[in-house]
Amino acid sequence: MGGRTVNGRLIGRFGQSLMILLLVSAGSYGLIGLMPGDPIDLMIQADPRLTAEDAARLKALEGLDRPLLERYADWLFAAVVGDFGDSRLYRVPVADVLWPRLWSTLTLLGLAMVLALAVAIPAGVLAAAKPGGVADRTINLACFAGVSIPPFWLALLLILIFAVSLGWLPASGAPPSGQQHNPLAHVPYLILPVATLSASAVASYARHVRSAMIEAMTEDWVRTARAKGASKARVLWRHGLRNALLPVTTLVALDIGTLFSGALIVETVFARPGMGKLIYDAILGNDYNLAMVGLTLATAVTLAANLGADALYGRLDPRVRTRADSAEGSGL
Amino acid sequence: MTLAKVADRPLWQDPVPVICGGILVVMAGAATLAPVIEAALGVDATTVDLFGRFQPASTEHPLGQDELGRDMLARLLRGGQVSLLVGFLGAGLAAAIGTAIGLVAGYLGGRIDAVLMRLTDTVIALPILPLLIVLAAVDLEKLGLPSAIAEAENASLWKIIIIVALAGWTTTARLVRAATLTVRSRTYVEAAVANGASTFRILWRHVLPNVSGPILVAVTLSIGNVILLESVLSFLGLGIQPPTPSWGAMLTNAQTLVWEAPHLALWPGLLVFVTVLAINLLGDALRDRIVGRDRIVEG
Repeated sequence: MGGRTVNGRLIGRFGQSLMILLLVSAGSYGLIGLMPGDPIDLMIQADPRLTAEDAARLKALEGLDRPLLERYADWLFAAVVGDFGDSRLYRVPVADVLWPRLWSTLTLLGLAMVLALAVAIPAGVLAAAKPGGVADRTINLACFAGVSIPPFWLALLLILIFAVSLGWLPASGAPPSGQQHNPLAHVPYLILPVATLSASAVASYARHVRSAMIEAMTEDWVRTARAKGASKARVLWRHGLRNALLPVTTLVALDIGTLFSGALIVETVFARPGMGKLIYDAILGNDYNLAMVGLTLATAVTLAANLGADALYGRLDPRVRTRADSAEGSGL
Repeated sequence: MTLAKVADRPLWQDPVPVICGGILVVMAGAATLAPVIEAALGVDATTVDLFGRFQPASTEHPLGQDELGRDMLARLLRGGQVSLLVGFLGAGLAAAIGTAIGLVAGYLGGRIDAVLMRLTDTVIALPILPLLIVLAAVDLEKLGLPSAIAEAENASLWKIIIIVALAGWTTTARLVRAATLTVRSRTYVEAAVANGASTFRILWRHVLPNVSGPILVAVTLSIGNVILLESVLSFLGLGIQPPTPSWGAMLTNAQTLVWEAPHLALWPGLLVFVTVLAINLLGDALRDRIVGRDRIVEG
């Protein structure tokens, strides 16, 4: 019975996510139409001999004279069946540009997340072991530094130190085309971007771990474990952390949107061919099709991650099956 | 227990908020007094000196000269004016939006609360930067604004303030909603309801003054985020437009210049970092005292 409520909840969440995706894509479609220079404007600029009538004819040809909602509906139906149109910047179908870049961004996000968790979990536990202690205050200060440093500036500093001064790592880019398929060739190009992207993620994850740990350490089973004489470390890591990791899963998933925003900055600074840079270039280059699909895909990936965390949470914690349904609507 | 002790101390007896406050006062003071400082040093932010490109610090130019030979210190001061202005106005606007949403959600509760909080969660979860970039790229004239406004000198300033506010209201909404939930059932609110006061009057006269503490905390925490976001958008070339300097915009070219003139990349970012850090630490100290630590998981 409990299983059914979880599934029902997930289906509800899935429906909500689809609706959000629809709203975001519709909103972006409307906004992109408001950017300066639609494709026809650009043609007119490029060729002064085009008359106003030519422009109107071209607009009708491309369907740009029809109402916005009608055009959006057309775009949506085509996109649903996998027809994303052509990219103006790259002169190939959008899908051809998209998939390799999505892969590159997911690699970056995955590595940054793993590295961030590897640093943040011990840091958060250490901070929570003695709230208000020296370790806690130091880690707290480091976390504040992590969320306060402009990510693009951190990237510049790292380039300045490790590429310009020391010359140990490449300043930007990707491996030469001959070595694209050799995973080892990618390593030097990944170190600085992953480090930059992890910095702010570490800060926010460590704070999540710390609060979840402090919460978990007040539970009865922790007191029981202490009472029966379990060592301090065992209480902390076995009894505390295992329970604290549950809420952290959700919070980490919620942070994926922020991490994606970070990826856009990191990819732009390090000239990495990924989704974030693709969206940025597409918007600046008036590549409407590419920008639309990029934005929608980025939103979809984020929503899917949240949904996945939701499903995982129900799996990991049997209590959620009943508790989450009563918490529904509380705004959490 | 140590925490309680720290939080019980008045703000001005705790070294961290005092130092942070001092830094912010110096920053804001220097930015405000930019014309005076410029006059005293005999420099200004706009004079181009092509023979002085990339010059390091000298007696005439205390922090060196940029890629057009303009005085770095003067540009940092003028950039500070813009970045701090965007920070304060953007956070103020964000707080107004967040307060309205938080008050309504917390006071009315039920379905409206659920919808508004789901909206808040969605804005927090979405990849917000790509969406803001689209928003920043929107042509004001295509929105139907008269060209006098769209092409005004300050148009990019107002645009960026609105954009950062649209992303920054979520913290306030959550904090204000939480505070409203506790205030809602107080006797003075019940008395106002019994007196037949309208919902608007109750929210404005009875609830709002009693949630002003959390609002102050939220505004402080938002200023840092707003300054950071402005610097990112300006760095990407979509925020404050040249020749107006802002700390983020000053770094737009720094990346290509990092090999020739590393000192250009150092200062603007350092100022953003120090300012945002000071504001966040100050906001954290306020939160400890006003809202209480660990009751809010995410700030």
